[in-house]
Amino acid sequence: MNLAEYLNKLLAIEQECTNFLTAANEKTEVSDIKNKFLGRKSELTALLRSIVELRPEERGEAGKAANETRTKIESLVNQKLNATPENAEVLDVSLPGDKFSEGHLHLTTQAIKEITKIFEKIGFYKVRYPEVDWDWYAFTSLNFPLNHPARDDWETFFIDKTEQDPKLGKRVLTPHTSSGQVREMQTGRMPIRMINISKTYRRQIDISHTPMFHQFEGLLIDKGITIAHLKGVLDYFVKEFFGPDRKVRIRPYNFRFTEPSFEVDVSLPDGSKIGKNGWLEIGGAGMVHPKVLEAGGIDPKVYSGFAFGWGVERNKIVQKGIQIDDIRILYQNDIRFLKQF
Amino acid sequence: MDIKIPFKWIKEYIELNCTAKEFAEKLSLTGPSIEKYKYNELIDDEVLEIEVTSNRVDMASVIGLAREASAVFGNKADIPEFSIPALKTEDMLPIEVKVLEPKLCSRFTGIVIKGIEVKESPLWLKNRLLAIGLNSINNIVDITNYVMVEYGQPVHAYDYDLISDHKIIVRKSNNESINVLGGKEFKMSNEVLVIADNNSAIGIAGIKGGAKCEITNNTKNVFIEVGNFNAELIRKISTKVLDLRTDASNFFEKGLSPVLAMITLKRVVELILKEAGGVVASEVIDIKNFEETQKSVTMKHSLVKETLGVDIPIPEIKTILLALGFEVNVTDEFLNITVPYYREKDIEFDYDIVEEIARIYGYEKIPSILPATTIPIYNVGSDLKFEDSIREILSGAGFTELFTYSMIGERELKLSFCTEDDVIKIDNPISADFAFLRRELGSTTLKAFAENEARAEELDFFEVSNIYIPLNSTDLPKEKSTLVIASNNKTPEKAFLKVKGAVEFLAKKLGIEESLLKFLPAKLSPFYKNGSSAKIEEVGEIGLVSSESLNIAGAKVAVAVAQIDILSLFDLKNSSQKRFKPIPEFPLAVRDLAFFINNATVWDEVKTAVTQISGELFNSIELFDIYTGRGVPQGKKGIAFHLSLYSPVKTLTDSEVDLIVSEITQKLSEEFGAVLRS
Repeated sequence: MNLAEYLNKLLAIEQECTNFLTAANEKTEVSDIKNKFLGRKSELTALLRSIVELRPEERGEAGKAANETRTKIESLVNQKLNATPENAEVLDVSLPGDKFSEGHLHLTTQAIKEITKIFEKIGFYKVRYPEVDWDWYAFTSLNFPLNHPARDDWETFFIDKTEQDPKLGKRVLTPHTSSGQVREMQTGRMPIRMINISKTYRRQIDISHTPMFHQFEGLLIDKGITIAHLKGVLDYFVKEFFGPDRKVRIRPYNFRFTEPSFEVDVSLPDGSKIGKNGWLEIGGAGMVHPKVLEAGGIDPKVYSGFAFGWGVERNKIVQKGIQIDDIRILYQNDIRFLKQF
Repeated sequence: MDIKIPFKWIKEYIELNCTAKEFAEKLSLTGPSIEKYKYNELIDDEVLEIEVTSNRVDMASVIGLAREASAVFGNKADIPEFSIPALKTEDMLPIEVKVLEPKLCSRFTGIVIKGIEVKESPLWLKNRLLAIGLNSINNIVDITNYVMVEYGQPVHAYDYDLISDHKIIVRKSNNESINVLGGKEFKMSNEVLVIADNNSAIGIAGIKGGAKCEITNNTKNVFIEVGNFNAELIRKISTKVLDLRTDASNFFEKGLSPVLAMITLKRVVELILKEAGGVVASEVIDIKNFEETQKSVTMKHSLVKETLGVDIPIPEIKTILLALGFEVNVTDEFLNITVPYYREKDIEFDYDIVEEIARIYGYEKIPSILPATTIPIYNVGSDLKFEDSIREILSGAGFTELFTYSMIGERELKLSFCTEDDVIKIDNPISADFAFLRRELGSTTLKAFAENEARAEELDFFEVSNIYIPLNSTDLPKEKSTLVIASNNKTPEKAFLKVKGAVEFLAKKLGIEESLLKFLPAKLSPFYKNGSSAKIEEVGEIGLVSSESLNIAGAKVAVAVAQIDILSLFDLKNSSQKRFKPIPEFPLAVRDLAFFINNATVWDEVKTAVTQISGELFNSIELFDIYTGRGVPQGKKGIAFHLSLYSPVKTLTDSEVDLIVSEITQKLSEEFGAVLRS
């Protein structure tokens, strides 16, 4: 071997080592490479020994170059060692993650949120009206004459035994959110696209009734509003709330404050155990009775509108397909119930 | 009202080629809701269970349903007219009827039939009654019930020979008693309308017959009464005065047409003569206290399109209305509609006619269109949105939302140290536990803790609800939307700090300036533990619940409660400005300081002193340890806090910081007996 060949071999070793180091990922790999290129059995060590095969005048330069190569390789290896992370430690990935403090919104709040969002999308605004209201707003203004039997259907809680005001009558715990209708009209706003979701009260307590519950009320009044528009809004709601494959239908019914009046049904998926013949009643609706418009100071010859409403809890339970046998559980506030939602 | 009608009975009056199922479905979509139909072996027929809305009592009968069906199916209903045979002079028996209350009895029809045989009803009659849940008694009584179901008009039969002096007077009760059929005795105040003979009351008009003139196997002659009594009166007497609801009162209180009485009487007579024999023994009695006029309604044709959104041509409208029994006269754009007697009560004006047209036309035929009218933008509901944010923030922070009843009882009043005068009282509560409207949320929240404390380690609850503050008897109460946040913990201080932390966290997330949220130690109502409570300035209160309240509620674990008025909190938020703080240019100087200070010193005092001394260089202070264990000198407690100082113009030197720290140490030592902790 001559000097030129010797120097070339040194260059080749340095290059090979550099390549190996570049590919290395872990400290153990780097240690192996160090051993391979600087150890007793390495090519470099062999080359150093074979310096005696060179001509004496060439040995000086060759030795110097070999030592430089050795120093270079040591430096590269150390650099790489410092830059390489510790070997990946083994971690038990099946351990449960940290527990975060879990809060819960009540099922009723979730329902109210959802319904509100659905209606806000089509331009409705949400308002609130008194829970304790005058008989006039709860009944008389809604076309229930005094002593009319239909008033009894509502099982109302009364605050007063006798009339406190000649026009307004007794104070009651509102049995329906419809008492907000005339109040909304009295604000003078026009057009009206209102929703009101509030606590309502009725004198009933059993497995399907709580004395306090929530009702949703929608009211739309403008010029040229027809039953077709009511159907449109109900159809939209039913698809958003229950599912895009669901249908809605209206059947004749009787409310004092609407004419015509309807019961509203939603179609049920096949094999459903609830409802009748594939339909479930979800609430009531109707075109606002002209007498109610008048009570609210609105001219029925110019404006028309519709109102619709239903119980919030029951429809949410149906929507989620939850098996609740006794609705009273909703307001018993058992933590084991609350934390499921 | 809910009624049961066998399907074949309806088919006696109208030809129908559909099944009971098809009938039920079709009718439910246009009118009365037919919920169920059950096959009954006894009569080999389906018994339909029908819900008739209270304004359509005209449909609550066999012929009413047949009439309705004829409009829906298009076949004509065949309702026969009967006539009463003429009286033969030799058959005449004396009877005199007087109606002393013409306003309360719009019609009284009746007749005497003599020589009848009271016996068991024929099977066809008996079985039909049994199939719909009525008892069979004898042929006369059964016929009166049968015709009531068939025509929707109550009928009563009296044993003629037991009517004193054969005189009948319809009058108000003079506070007399009556034994009704079935044996019960009723004391009738003078509001009650009675059917009386010359001696005493023999029936409660429109409600129930008396036992005195009961039809028995010995009855030979009967007096049949088919009357019409004032709806409001019957309703008041049956539901409020006597608490006696019967099939008859159920019909009358909804308002029957007096025209129906005579039609029904004819049918009753026909059936009695056929099934019990006998002959007519009096003139037909017909005392009329009403005007036999026909109601007319005028409707503009365009009203149909305006209401439905669909144009229905006049010929089609006419067909529908005629099928329903209306008479129609068309002139230009108007329809003049004459209302049949059985629709007098529920058809009031033109919109009622539109409903009739629409429901028979078919609601499913009306298109479904989202209203494209202007979307109104009003500045409303921002307080409701604020409440929504509060719920989101607190549930996100790990609190569980409660929904407790607005109504409370004595125990909650006791718990919250309120009296009955402080709250709204419900006049007709459903129970004593729900007799008042609450004016604070602490009591119901505490109840939730007592009930749940055995079910979970730590409980963290919140609720957003109204409280009701009575004003005076001529005003509505003030409804204040209120937030309650509460936690329990075996260590009371922990419970308190958790709730305080939640309030601070909530305020921060809502964008309320820290400086606006102040906790000022204060004595509150006895609901809160003395010395462990504070006012939250402008917005509410916070504190540990007192032992007394915990005991009353049956809670064993300490509870801390904060109650906040939401509108006040909203005001606070609206007066807060969100200011961006520029990122510090120079590094903060942070020191951890630890002292033993006098037990009586409260954190606020230390914080104020440190802040004051640090002056403009003050950046933040954070307490991270309170220590009262071993190694703490008598009468003292250990505290440790991070103090950070900042200068906007340079990096603070150690000596500058040391200076401030030594001033702090000195001040704390002078004021609070502070000793540096090693």
